[in-house]
Amino acid sequence: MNFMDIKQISPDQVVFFQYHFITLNLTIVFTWAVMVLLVIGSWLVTRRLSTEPKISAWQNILEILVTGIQDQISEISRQKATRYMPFIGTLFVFIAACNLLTVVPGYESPTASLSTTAALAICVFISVPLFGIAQKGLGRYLKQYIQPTVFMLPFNIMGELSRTLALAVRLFGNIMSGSKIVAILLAIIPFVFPVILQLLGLLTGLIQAYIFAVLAMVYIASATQIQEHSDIKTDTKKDDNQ
Amino acid sequence: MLIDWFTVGAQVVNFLILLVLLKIFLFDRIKQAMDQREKNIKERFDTAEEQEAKAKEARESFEKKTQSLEDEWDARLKQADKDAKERRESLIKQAREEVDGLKNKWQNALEQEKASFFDRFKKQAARLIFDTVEKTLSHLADTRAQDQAVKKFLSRFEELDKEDLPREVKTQPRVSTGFDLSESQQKSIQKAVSQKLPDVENIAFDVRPELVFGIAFAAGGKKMTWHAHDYVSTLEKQINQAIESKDHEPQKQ
Repeated sequence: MNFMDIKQISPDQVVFFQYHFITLNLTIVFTWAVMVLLVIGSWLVTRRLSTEPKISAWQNILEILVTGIQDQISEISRQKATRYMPFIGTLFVFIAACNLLTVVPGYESPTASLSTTAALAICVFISVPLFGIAQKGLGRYLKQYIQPTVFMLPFNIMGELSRTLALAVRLFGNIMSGSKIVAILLAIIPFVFPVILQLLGLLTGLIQAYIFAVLAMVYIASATQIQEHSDIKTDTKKDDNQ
Repeated sequence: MLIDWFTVGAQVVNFLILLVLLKIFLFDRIKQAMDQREKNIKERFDTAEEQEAKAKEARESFEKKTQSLEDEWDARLKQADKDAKERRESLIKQAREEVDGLKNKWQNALEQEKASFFDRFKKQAARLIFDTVEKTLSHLADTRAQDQAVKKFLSRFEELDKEDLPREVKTQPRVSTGFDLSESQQKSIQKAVSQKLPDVENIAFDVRPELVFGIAFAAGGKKMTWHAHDYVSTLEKQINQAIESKDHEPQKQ
């Protein structure tokens, strides 16, 4: 069962219900499905967690996932991972789940919708200053936009916007193109080759999830650390003048 | 248009909801479980380290006790060895003393026996010599040995100086002989004594067999003796020397 035809680029275009501007489309439906799957799956696994050295396979998998994300955050940010873990972890788990579920027939990944990737990119775009301000304070965070000179302010703002756009478009482009190529190949060569591409798509989907989460962490880390470097430089200059 | 702003907003909300739910049902729980397990493992490690420390302490205590027992064992062994050596030396010394005592006793007994033997020998030899001389003199010279002995005694008595004689005689002088004196012999002696000691009126005569062939005179603390013991003593010495030289020679089988 396919909800989309080859001409439809985004699952947003498959609308189930519409009332004025409120639209219930395929993206939202599958997003809810993924959310339910993830939450129920997490609840099932974590309702009976063992604190003994011997643990279940599912708990082991989840612990490996959480520990892996935690290590990545620590390596990138050089800070304690606890604060960023839920945000970065949710980004990775959600995108990875959306992408990996493409093996299910009839499923359309929400990340193949620019609306979803844009929403995730906006979340990152908003979280970066939030973490930066929480870490360094509003004044010191905003100060970084006029570093090294005030003339850099428009370029820094453009940089923020462009990388957010890049985040959204990169993920959307990769996933959407992957699904479209598979759909086209299914029409041309229906045997074997689409399966290989589907497997390749799974790998690409995982890599994209990883890239998205890592880039988000890099942006957050830059917001919490660039200020420190500029402070150090300022302090050094003060010392030189003295 | 590829982007639907309502969907964007809905997805932002969806993402935030998912973030909260996963934080509650996944990340926090997993983190808590991992922390709890780490804590449990740490507690077990701490307990194990504590037990190891206790075991180490017990081992050290045991080793100390063992060392102490070994030291005590060595000390007791040394003491026992020392006591045994002392006991051995004491027993050897005691045995030597006993042997020496027995040896001395035996030697004393031997000496006594020897002395007794030689005493008997001297008497018997003197008696034998006296008898032989008596017989020889009676057969060849028609005279008695007793007479010659008295004669010799009287000649020697007469040769005595004043210094050899007692200055005053308070008790009765006594003449002892190994044989019976005849009346004439007693008178001869009485006469000779009276000449030298005018104060002496009477002399006591008695027979002492141990003198055998001799005559002894005792008066006022002075004593004069003539007897054949000198000859017998010479014979005794020669016999003694012969016996001792015989004892020292290695026995030939």
